[in-house]
Amino acid sequence: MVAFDVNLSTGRWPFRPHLHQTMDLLVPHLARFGITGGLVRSSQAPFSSDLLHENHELAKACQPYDSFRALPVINPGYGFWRDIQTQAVLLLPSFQNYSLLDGRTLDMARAMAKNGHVFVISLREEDERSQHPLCQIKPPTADIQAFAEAVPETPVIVLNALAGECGRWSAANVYFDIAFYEPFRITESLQAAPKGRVLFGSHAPFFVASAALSKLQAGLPAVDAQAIARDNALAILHP
Amino acid sequence: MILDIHTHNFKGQADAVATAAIAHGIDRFLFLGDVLRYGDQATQEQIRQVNNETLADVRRYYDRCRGLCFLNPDNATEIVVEEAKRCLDMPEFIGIKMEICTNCRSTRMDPIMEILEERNAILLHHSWYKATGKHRFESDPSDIADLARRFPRVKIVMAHLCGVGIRGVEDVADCQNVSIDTSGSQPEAGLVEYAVERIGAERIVYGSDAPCRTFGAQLAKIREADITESQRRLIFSENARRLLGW
Repeated sequence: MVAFDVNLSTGRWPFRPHLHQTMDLLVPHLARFGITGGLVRSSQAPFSSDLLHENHELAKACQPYDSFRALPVINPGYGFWRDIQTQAVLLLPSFQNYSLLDGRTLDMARAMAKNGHVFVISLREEDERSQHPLCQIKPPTADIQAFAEAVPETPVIVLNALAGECGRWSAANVYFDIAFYEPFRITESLQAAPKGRVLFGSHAPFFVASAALSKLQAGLPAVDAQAIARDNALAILHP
Repeated sequence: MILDIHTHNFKGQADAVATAAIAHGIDRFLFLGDVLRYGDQATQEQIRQVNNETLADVRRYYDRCRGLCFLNPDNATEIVVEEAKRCLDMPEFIGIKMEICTNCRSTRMDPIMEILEERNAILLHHSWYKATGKHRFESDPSDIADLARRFPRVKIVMAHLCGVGIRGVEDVADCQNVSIDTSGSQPEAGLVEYAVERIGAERIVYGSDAPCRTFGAQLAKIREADITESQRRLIFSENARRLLGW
């Protein structure tokens, strides 16, 4: 199985180092499991005040790897979003202290939607129970549906959602990944999920990459597994 | 060989857990009981009911399954002791499971620990470091370390490596009678490697916490870990077999 991973990170996470936190370590590690491409975001961006710098560093880190695409972070408070060239862009509302439903955020989203951008929103990077006690990030789970409805023609990819959260979003333009998605009856759950809206995401290097793959290998029909592993993502992301 | 030291036979789910375990190549597993069904203060009648259900579930899979006896140390001591002995007298039970009924620093643990020491059986104890606040009697790894130092000859398995994290490993590092199971939370990378380096592979045992988690994702923590094959074998089965005598 060949996988395109929408949930990858590179760089130093502030709270602890990861074994494969640089692209030269991460890419060959992922290749062991058939993960040959993906969207890569910066582990430093969530808490950085210099987002442009983080985006430049991310682009440099990804540049040698054709199939691993840099996912720049945007923020309605930073005007550079108007200059972003990549199709997919990352929003981190809870980490960067703004709401998905603020007028300014929605204005930005609508303008970018007209230009064909795809939005990626990371709900969380860690299990809330394991976060630093002085850095408790609350996932913006409740705002996803209304945000997606505000840009109905634009894919909104939600990363790191729990299985119980995914069922709350009926908007047809909401997609979600399987990194945090771990109901015991995983195969039945994935088969019951909205067709075409489940994407492969491992959350490497935070998580072991093969854990997400195991969810596709527990009895899911091959055609469904391949759709989640790669095809669903490539249907909404330009080559 | 793979031995899963941490699965739960929640009411009505034992067969699904056993079937999935077998499908994932798990050769042996422990049922730890439906330990949260009655909250954090299960009565002795409720405890006995949970253990009787575990007994019935283990018997259906006795060729590859054993159980742990669930206790609430806050119940009357003579009844707790009686229930511990009732269970451990049966071959289906090979240790005791503690959840969140009593913080393990409590001296109410002492009679149970004495039984475990006498019988050379394990205590598998829930533990977690939660930034979001813990249950009122929940034990964290510093509590487990306190218990381990008071009873250095009792074999303790501290549950949830991925819940206790690096700080939890450090808490019990010098407690040679404490092993850590790999269950808990998401399949976080690097923790197995950290624990192996810090306390040795001989003190790490594989556990899934199924059906709270999937076997595939929890097995991946060990399969993908950057450790040697001999260390992987220790974690997957050899350590648990030594601890359990099974």
